[in-house]
Amino acid sequence: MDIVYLGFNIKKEKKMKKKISIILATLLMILPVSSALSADKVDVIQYSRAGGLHDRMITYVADSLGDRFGERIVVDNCAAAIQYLKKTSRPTVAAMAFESMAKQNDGSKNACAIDKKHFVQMYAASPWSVCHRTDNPAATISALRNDEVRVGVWQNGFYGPRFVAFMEAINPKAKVIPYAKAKMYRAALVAGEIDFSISTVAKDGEICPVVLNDKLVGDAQITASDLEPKAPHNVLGYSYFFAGANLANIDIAEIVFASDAWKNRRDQRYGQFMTGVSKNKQWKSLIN
Amino acid sequence: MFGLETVIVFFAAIVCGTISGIMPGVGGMAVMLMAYPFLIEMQPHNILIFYVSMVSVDQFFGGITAIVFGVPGSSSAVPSAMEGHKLFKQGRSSESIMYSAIGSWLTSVFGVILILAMIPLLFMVYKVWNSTVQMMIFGLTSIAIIWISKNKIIVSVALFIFGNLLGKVGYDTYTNSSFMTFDSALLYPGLPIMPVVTTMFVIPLLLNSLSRGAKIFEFPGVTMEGYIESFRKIKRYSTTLIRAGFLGSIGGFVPGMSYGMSSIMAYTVEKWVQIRRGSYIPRKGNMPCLIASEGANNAGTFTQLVPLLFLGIPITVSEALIYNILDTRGYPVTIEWFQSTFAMIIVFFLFSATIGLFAAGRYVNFMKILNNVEIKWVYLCVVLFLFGAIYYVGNQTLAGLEHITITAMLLPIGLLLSRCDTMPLIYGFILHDKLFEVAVRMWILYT
Repeated sequence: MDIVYLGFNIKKEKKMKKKISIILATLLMILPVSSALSADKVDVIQYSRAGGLHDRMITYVADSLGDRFGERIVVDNCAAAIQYLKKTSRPTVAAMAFESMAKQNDGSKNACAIDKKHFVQMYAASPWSVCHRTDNPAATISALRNDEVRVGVWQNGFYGPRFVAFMEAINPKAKVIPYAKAKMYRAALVAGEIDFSISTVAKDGEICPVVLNDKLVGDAQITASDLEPKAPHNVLGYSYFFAGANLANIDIAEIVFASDAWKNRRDQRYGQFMTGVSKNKQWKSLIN
Repeated sequence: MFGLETVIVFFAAIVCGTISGIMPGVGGMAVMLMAYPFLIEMQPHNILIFYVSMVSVDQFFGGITAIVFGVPGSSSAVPSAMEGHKLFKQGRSSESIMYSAIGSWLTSVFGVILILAMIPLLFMVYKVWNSTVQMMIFGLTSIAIIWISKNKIIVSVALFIFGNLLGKVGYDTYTNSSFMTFDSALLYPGLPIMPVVTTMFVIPLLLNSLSRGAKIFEFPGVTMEGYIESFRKIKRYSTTLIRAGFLGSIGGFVPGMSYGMSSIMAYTVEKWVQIRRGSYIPRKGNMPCLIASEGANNAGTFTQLVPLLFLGIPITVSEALIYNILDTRGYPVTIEWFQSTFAMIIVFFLFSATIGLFAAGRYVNFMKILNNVEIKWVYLCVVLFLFGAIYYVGNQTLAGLEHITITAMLLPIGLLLSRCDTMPLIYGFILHDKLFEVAVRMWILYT
């Protein structure tokens, strides 16, 4: 028989409450257990929401840690990653981009710059390349130099002005179009909105005939310095370094570079960066 | 191909989708990250099954929390909270939940059919998806949001700009500069979405709601008979469903939009239609608007998989995570492999949507436990819960106190704006980076 009191059907509500209690109890049990289990492990910070290269770079780290991998800490941006590193008491590593150490446009300290104590060592780097779709016959090196082409670049406060300066020297008639995310390049290349993109990673259906490096890499046909020796930033790369906290007894770089995750990485253009250079010199190259 | 692992994965996805739908701030991405240690051990097709089932169920439960408590679990549920909670206060709670759930299911099916019909044309769609088209869509949506708001135009414009400015607070890698941070570490990471939506949308909405409609929480619940009856009657909203299904589907699969934007777009268009017909009464809530926003959400959750399955492009962070897992484990992340999973994805999507439809009906009846409680106490609990959730979510990145501090700083502004329709502000906040980026590109392209 149903018992109704103050509008509550006691029998039914008891059943419902029991179900809710079981669900909540299970959740409450899972959360602390999962935290406790990961107490001695290394957490990795992911600060890029967009997916793509940074995600892969930090995923190589997570995968190479194997059983020592703790949690993936997702924060909104590099500034939040720095705040996290300052506060955490657990072993934590992040793959930070080189430009986060550059001063802001107004000359002030970058909100994403790390203190020396959080610098671990350099991670990986790749030169930038000028790429185009293989199914676009009009995208030739000659067109890149002489025609009114559109070149898609990453909309970034540090690299953006460098790409503009480089393209102005290569071809003053070219228009440099900024895109916030790398995935937008692909859609723009497919849509024919741009003829070329400047990228560090060639996607399926793309080739990169010009490389901003002092020697040829991958499918490059010419280096940017051979194309235009006077062009500023004709040798320009993108690089990552490891930043971390509480990693005194953990050699992150050794773990990553010895792992299958790193050896089998999709981004083969990215190689170890500044190997054999002392940590002090690496740090100096970062802050200068 | 399918075994015990698939069954376990499927039901785990249903549970995870339920949790992420009910809990504000716990989005699909958070669940994917929590499930990451398990995902990396799974068979590749099971990873896709987990994701598609989880996001499908999430949408059904997220809508209910928005309707009953006025709390949007994510930015895509803001319109549902706006219209749905007003309907709830008018005593139309059961009807709202059933129509939005059934509408969502129908638009899910619509999304599947539309994509199947469009497969030969998909590549053409990407060929026309350029910055000009994006600017037109974002621009028209922004203008429509301002136009259809119940505020005076000038107030809505000001709120939209203010939302954009709030969105710009923090360090910006695109410009390598900081905006309105006052050299404070608290503000460098920018304003998190939960404090902004809570203080600028939920609290004004609940304060407005207090003075209107029912004073006692009254929810009769939903029944199977009610579902069948609503299913029979929903044809009266067929044009709304087609519009929402179409806009939701398109919004879902174009890069840079996502299903959150689909929901905003469908809601905006529907509200404009309702205003033109004279059937939109701001204080009472509007069923077609609710159905449009909820339906577009669900259509978009399916179609957002299309770029991944047909072009190998992950357009959401969760998809990027899946892509990375498959890639780093050496699985074939080729377009051919993704395409070969398409039929399976459709089956699991529709199956999980059907479970979501009925499971949501079961879950919502638990809320009858609050019947006869004064609504002001329910609201107080909702606000306290949200503050707790803000702290909890922030604390996941050791920034719980910072998020609470930001909430406290924004609260007086939210209270000042409690007589306004703050949706233009929220949309300005959500859309600011897309608008800014496309506007810069357009300027360069056409000058």
